[in-house]
Amino acid sequence: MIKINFRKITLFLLICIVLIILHYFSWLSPVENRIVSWVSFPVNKVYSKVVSWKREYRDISSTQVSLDDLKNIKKEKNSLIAENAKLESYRFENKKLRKYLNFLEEVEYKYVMAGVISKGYSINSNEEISTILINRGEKQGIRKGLLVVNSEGVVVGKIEETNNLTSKVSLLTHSNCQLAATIQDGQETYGIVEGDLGLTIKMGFIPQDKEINQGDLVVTSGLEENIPRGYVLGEVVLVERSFNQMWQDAIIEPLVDLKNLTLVSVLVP
Amino acid sequence: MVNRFKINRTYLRILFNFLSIILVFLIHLSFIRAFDSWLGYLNLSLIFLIFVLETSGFTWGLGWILGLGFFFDIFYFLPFGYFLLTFFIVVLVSYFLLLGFFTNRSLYSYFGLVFVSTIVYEVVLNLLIYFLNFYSSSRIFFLFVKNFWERLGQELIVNWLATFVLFYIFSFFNKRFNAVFIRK
Repeated sequence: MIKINFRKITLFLLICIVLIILHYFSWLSPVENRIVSWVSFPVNKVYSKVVSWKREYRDISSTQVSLDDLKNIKKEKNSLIAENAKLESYRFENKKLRKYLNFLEEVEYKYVMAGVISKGYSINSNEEISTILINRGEKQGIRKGLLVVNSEGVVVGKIEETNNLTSKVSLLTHSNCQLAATIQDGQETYGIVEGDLGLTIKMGFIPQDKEINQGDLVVTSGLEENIPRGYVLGEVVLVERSFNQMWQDAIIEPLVDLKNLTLVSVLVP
Repeated sequence: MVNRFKINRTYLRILFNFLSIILVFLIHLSFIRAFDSWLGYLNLSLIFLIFVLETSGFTWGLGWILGLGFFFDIFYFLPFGYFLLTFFIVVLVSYFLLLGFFTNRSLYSYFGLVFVSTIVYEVVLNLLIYFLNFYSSSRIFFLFVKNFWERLGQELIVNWLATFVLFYIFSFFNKRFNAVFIRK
């Protein structure tokens, strides 16, 4: 005969109900905030350490870079430096011209740095885990919908939910992460970028008359509130076009390794 | 004098369990979740919960649910109480099996308990998440999704491996554990 102690179970359930009520009335907030603030730093350190071990293991086990590859990389780097210098001068000229024409001042964004403390839970079983938790929240001015970039300024995702001291970031490959984007091909091709099954990114609603090529860079279009223009998302790897459809799709590969993030920045207007 | 000693010992035990809960949670949150693929699926909190239930009893198991469930609920962005409820159901089912079927403390009884508790944990948690996102048109019921079963399979394998290792570590320090195979 299996004996179940109903008194203990009832007491336990009562404690749970009290905790839930205290949480939803925010009476537990001081305790929760205290726990989160104590735990965030060591958790971030351990998480970053494990990610750095993974990177080291991957670097050791990957094939050696050939001399030719190295030369090509150096060449590409030099041309990027030259292009960057040109763009910098255009930016300065743009700013001056705006001032002369009395345009409204562009919104200044500040970068709030945050450490990754863990991976989130997958809401959709059909999807790989493509959310991360960071140790910054509403207290630092972060709110839902803000853009998240890595240390090189490349987009990694958007803020999906926030608590007082932590936030959940939907990475670019998450289906909840949708961004208004444009392709840098001189044709002003606009579309919506959306994560696909936690594995890749798809850009949809691209008009059929636009010519898209492999290798084209995709950047944020600035048409969304609180998301500035010009932040790189990735590059086009495949174009899906069907002549009886109104739109065409592009598969985009992110430029950043989304599985090994340790430090990110949130763009706060 | 003896009563005071017993009370101190109880407080020490509560403190030890509390610190253990925090350590297990931190290792689960930061160390294990940082890994990709199969190693990242290890559910260390669940395994420790089963070990505590089997070695220390139902009351201590409920205490661990309160601790672990509370920490999980404040860190993960699911409605508060989801993890408390999930762990509670897992422990109830495991306790029922412990009293009725897996009555010895051998390795294969742990394997059996971890097997059942992993499945119950994943089904209950995914069910709660499914109802949370019920009105979203893109949600297919998780039991019909191939990815769910693949991940569950990987989680079961890695949980069993961890159970095997932890069993021998615990049996080194605690004589309450039985041998791997029971001899008549």
